[in-house]
Amino acid sequence: MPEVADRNLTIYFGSQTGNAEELASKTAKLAKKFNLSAKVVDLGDIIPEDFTSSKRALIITSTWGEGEMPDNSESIWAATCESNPNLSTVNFSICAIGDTSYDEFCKAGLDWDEKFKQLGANRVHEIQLCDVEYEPEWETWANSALQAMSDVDTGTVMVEESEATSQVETVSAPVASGSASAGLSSLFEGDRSLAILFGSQTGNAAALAEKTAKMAADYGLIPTVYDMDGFDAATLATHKRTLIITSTWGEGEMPDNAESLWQAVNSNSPSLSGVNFSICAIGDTAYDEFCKAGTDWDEKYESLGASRVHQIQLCDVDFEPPFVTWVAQALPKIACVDSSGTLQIELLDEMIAYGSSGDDEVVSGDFAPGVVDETELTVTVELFRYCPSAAESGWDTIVCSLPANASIQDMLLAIKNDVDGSLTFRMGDGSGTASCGIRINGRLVLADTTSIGSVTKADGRLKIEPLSGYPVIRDLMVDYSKFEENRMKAKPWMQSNPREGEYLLNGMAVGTMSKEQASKLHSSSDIKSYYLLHSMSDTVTYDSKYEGPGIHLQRWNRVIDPRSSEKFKTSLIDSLNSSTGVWGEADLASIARYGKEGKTASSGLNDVRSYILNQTNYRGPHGRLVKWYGRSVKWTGKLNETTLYRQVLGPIGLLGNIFDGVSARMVLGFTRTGGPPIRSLQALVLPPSGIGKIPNMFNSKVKNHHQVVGLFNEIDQRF
Amino acid sequence: MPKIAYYPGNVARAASMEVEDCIQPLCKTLGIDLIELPEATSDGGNIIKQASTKLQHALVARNLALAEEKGLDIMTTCATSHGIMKDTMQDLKDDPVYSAQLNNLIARSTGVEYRGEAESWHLLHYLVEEIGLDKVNDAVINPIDLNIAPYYGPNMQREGFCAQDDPFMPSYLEQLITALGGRPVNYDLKCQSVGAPSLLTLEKPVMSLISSVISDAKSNGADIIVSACTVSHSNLDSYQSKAGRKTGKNTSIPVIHLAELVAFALGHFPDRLAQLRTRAILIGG
Repeated sequence: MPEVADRNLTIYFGSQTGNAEELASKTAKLAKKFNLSAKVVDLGDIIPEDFTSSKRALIITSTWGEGEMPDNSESIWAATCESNPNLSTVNFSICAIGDTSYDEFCKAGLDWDEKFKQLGANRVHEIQLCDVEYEPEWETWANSALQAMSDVDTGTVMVEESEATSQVETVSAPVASGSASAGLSSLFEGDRSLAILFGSQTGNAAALAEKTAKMAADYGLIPTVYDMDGFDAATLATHKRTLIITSTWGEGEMPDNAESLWQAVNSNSPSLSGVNFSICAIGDTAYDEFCKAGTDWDEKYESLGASRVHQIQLCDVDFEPPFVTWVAQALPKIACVDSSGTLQIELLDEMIAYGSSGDDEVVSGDFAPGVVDETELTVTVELFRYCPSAAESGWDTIVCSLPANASIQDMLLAIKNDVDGSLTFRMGDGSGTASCGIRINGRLVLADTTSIGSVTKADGRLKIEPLSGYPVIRDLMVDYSKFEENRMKAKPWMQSNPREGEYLLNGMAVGTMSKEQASKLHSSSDIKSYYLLHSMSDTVTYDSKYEGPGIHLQRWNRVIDPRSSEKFKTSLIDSLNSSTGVWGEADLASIARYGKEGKTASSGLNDVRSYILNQTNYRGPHGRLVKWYGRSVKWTGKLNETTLYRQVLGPIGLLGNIFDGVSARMVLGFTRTGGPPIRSLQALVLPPSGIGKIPNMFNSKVKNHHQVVGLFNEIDQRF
Repeated sequence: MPKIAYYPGNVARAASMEVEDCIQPLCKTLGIDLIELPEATSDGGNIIKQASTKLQHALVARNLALAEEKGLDIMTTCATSHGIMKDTMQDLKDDPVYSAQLNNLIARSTGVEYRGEAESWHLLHYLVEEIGLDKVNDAVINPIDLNIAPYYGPNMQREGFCAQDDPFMPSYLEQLITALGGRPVNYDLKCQSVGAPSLLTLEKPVMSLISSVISDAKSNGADIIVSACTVSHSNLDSYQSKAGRKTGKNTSIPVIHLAELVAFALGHFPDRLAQLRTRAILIGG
């Protein structure tokens, strides 16, 4: 059995909410850069003796409650304190995450740090204490701790012969198994740096360089991306592994940022012996000098003595597919260059397998990664288009094939990149950005978090439109400025002066509220996007003065907030009861149908109306409508439309209906079919009907009518 | 013969008598046994809710309890009433404490108890899912050979409210129109509100809502509109000339209720069907 350097690392996590676990996984990924084979282990799954087998151990742990271990670590902590295993062969470092607002900040991590030290372990890097915003501190720690771990010499480990020869199987999960072959392990020793130079005019080459750098870590490389602008030509020879990605500008010229370096190389002609390189050139076949900058670099490197590990890739305007091909072949080849600059081409197959297994980290414990829906969907997209300069609108039909799990935004980006670069829409950051709403197959969604599969119908059609209720700027992009102006006028922010409530020892006042109040307030405010909420109303499209549910719900949430001052509440109610207020909504049902948020908003606006009706004692047409509707139902159990029309519209309104032809439509016969003719005749002499066929003037009572009266009397005696 | 309790809603026995005329014969033809609930009251129409949500909940829960007492589900011809029943059922299911308090109150005042067992059906969903379009198609005597724009309205187009139909891009009414020999017309605004709850209080936007639905249907080639909602049916019909005048759009088109369309196709009221065809020729399309 051959011996190879032991590069194993165990990353333990103690996690309550999943944050520490996530950091452990990230640390394992990062470990590849340092040529370490990392294994992530749940502290809840081990016994103390397991620590002794880890020569390199990192612990990432949160602290729970008042300085306690997270639930998954309590047992191992107690067992370790009881058995006190000898950890003299263990090298360790701790990353503790906590919250400085607690007295026992990061206590769990500090306890492990002290315990490991006490049991003889070697602390190779100081403990890192992280506050709530833990990512930056973790990143600093991870890079330093992994470097320290990488520098630790833990001797060699024996590798089964079969592992050394059956490379593909061995490296299928290299991070977990940590058993790369002897050849590959020795390749990973020493300098693993990779220089990626880009020459870019519009940013495409720069973006590809960044992508390449991300992928390089999978092959155990430590990449650095260099802008050719300002790059010192004298240092080119020091980069044993070099990839160049460059576009061509104008008539075969270098991009602006590469011009100086190109001139310097041409004037100085430095020897590039010992340098291994490959070039990716992007250009446009419509030009005579297609990809000339790239081919110039390729020839220049060769002429200066560098070794081409992979042939130049020439990419046309649609550069992504050939780039992907190139990077998949060039990276493993250049990764096979050892620290002396020699290409170990015989390790190529193993390197390819090693790199391609990068996403298959095996995570121990009971954590199961989420299921990824990789189903490929072919959808026919009907896309609303509007060009303001031509004042033209219409629909594009585009057939796309994308994974079902891709977001609508991914799809729009693909269309923009591959079909029509002028397509305009609002981009989100992938976390449910409030402003990136669109209407898709009738649903109102946030494009950056809604998957294609969740909204595609069986026929594979996707109809995509801008949000209704806003002016369209271009294509799917709408103008929120009027909404924002209304929001500014509404001032839906906390105004609690003079502040009421309890006082802390330091004299500061804090507002208080009951659990019920807090719960109601939270649920009423649980809206992802008030822009979307505005668009749920059918009325906003037809009444530009109506401010809409997105504004009114924000106002109402301040009214029901007990911390708001009485003066503020009064002004809010006045606004809600104004001509642009809640009575402007023609139908709350149009809002309620949009899921949980629609229901929350319609309930909230209904509450506003109840509140105002109580305050105003049912004055005005809205008040009369509610009052007489209720009364007619109480009197007979049925709605009496005649009463309702007469009471709400009044004589002038009724006359208006006659003049507007509402009643005449029925009398002249151009109205609904059927019905007793006597009703039609009634309308000639009894005008209160406003809706065509005159309904009963007097209703008979429902059976057991007294039960209805009983309900009214029990619940609401105002009718 | 399937049995189901019948809830006419607020206007089928008042301003929209034609719906009431049609529902009984069409159900008889399709072998549906409609059971009357003479004690059932108005559901509050989402208007009483503006004064007291609890009162509207109590009225609706009592109606549902009356159907439960007979061991039946409940069916209505009105999308608004169906929406209100489903909404109430959901509210009571989501808050068991409130539901128990309300139930005590109903039991004390009326002697019936709501157990949450009765399911609410709209006529459309009942015909498509329980009776079956094949059976409906087999019973057609007078195919409705017209371009028909389906109107759903917003009330029952919610997740869980419209059986297995898609709430936002529904197709049940189109399927039914096809089964009855008609040609469904596709248009965008079939689920848009026509402002029924605000008809008497908010004239300008309501007239715009009405005229936009009608003109969208007409511009897509409709001869008539068929409505799944009894209240909206009245708005779309009786207020169409006023809406057209206020908004400057062409809004003349016959509007009938779903129950009428089915009854006519099944051979009932041939005189009314003839009248409808005449009106479609004169003012539709």
